[in-house]
This record gives sequence, C-alpha cells and structure tokens, in this order.
Amino acid sequence: MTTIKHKMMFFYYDMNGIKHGPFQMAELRLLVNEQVVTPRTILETEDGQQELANQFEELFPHEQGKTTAPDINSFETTYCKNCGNEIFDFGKACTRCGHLITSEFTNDTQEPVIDTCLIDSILVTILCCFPLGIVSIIFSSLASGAITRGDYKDAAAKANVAQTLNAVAVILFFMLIFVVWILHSILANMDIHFPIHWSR
Amino acid sequence: MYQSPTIMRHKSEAIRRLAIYIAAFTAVLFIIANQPTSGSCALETPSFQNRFKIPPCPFHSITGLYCPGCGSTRALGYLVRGLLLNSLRYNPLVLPLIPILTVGIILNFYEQFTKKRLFPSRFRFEVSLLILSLVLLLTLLRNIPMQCFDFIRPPE
Repeated sequence: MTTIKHKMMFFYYDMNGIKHGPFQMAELRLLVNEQVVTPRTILETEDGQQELANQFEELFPHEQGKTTAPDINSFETTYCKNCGNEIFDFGKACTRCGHLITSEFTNDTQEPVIDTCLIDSILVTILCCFPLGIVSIIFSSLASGAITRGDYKDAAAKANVAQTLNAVAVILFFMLIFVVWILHSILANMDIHFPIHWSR
Repeated sequence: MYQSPTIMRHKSEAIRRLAIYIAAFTAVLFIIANQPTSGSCALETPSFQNRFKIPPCPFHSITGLYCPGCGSTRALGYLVRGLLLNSLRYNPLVLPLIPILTVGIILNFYEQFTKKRLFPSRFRFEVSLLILSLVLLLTLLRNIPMQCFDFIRPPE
C-alpha cells in the first residue's frame, strides 16, 4: 500500500501505454467514476514510482489486500483492462465489452476450459425430455466445434444455450411427468389407455 | 451482472454440481435396486406394479412415439441385476453410454479443478457427433412402423 501526500500529482497510462496527466487525486476519482481509470490501470506518481491503481485506498477502497498479479490457478477475481469489468474466469474475452484478455497475468497459450454441457445434454436426452435434449446435444457439439476453431466467445455462448435448454428441459420434464402420472393413473382406473402404439 | 456459467465454474459450484450428480445417481440406484426380484422379469410383475409405479415417459404417453430414452429405466433395472442382454433389449443406449458418461464426468471435474485440458477439443467434437448420430438413429429406427423393427422398441 502506498502512502500519499496531499496535493500530489499523478499520471496514468491508458491501454495503449500513452501517459496522461498530471491529475490530482480528486480528478482521478472522477476518472474512476467514468471508468477511465480501472483497478488495473498503471498510475505514476510525481517521483516516477509506478503502481497499479487498486493499490490506492483513496481510489478503490474495496480493493485493498488483493494480489497484484493473480495466480492462474487461484479463483481470485481479475479486471478487464478495457472497461474495468470484473472477470471471474480466465476466458479469452471480457464478458461485457469483448475485449481480449491478453494481459501479462493470463497465459495466452493455454486453452480456456469451457464446459460444453455434453454430459448434461446426454443425460437430459436419455432420462428426461427428448426433443429439447437433442437440440442441446446439437448446441454442445456446435460449441465444441467453435472451440476447435478457436472462437471461445462463440463456444461459451453456444454452451450457455445448451445449458439453458437443459435446465428448461428438466423443469418441463418434472411438470409434464406430474401431470401425465396423475392422468395416467386416473385413466387407467377408468380402463382407458391413452398412448397409441404403432404396432397396434 | 449475468455470469457466464459454462466457462470455468467456481470451485464451490463444481462441488455442488458433483453432489447433485452423486445424489441423483444414488437415488436412482436406490429406487431401482430396492424393487422385488421375484420372477424372471421383476419390473413387470403385478406386485411391483402395485407397489411402485415408475412414471411413464411423458413424450410416449402424449404422442405415442418412442423417444431414445424409452425403456431406459427398465434397462437400468436389468443392468443393476446383471442381466446385460435384457438391458440391451429394453434400451440399447444405456449400457454403452454408462462408461462414456462416467469418464466424461470425471474429466469435467478434473478440468474444472486443474484448469487444464487432457484431450484436444477435436476429440470431444467427434464424440459429441457420434453420440448425436447414435441417438438420432435410434429414434428413427424405433419409430418406423414395421414388424422388423420391433426388436429395437421396448416391450410393453
């Protein structure tokens, strides 16, 4: 944590590495509100010390005690360099602005792990609602195709569709099975068997 | 803010997911294995039917068509009792899919905890295409209204 003398002037570096300034602390706070300065922005004091903006208690009071360089194997939060949005996962792109995460903290060569929901889709198809399960298997295979292409944003979107379909299918299945179970028992008592079979 | 759930779940969420899988698996096994085993066809005996009615497939009840999951409960029941041929007779997909699903679930959790991929993505794509084609083929064959395809339909 850096101690700050009052009336000190600051400079900040934007995404392209261009130096802006000088600014006073109050002006920097306005820039934080406008999300120009984010927790990951590099600030420079008058005497040439460079610090990440989240080290300044005046700017980000809730950021204190967080690690400056997140370990890739930890579940710490990181921030998008472009818009300051919190990123909970180490995907390739920010979920809000789509800015590619190519900071020095993430390992670019590593493929992000995206769960394509294939297992859930198979379970839904075999055990629950069949038509929606087929659609979600199709979406999960589209997602793995997108991973093969390297389009991780598209893959995440398609995997999300598959997961949503699975959830809808499970809820629909439980609603339907309740209704069908009751109808089945009532009609069976009345000696009416309503499923029609091809063989008959 | 809406969080993308499919990329890298939080550790606690992964554990919750694993717990849901295990709970569902044990519940299904408990229900199926606790049924009386008298007779050659335990799940079809009247005593079983009176004691506990496995709910019918809603898709089959409403449309009269066979879905790829029809007969999977009975197939699981026979599988638990070690009658593999009976299991295949009721639903041919259950037996081959069990090892695939087991390996898949273990791989998923390995990936979510270590954040590394064991197999390249292309392998996954081919596996999902294979399963999709199997399911679609089974659905197609089951619903052809001809006597010669009765072997792939679950008996009533």
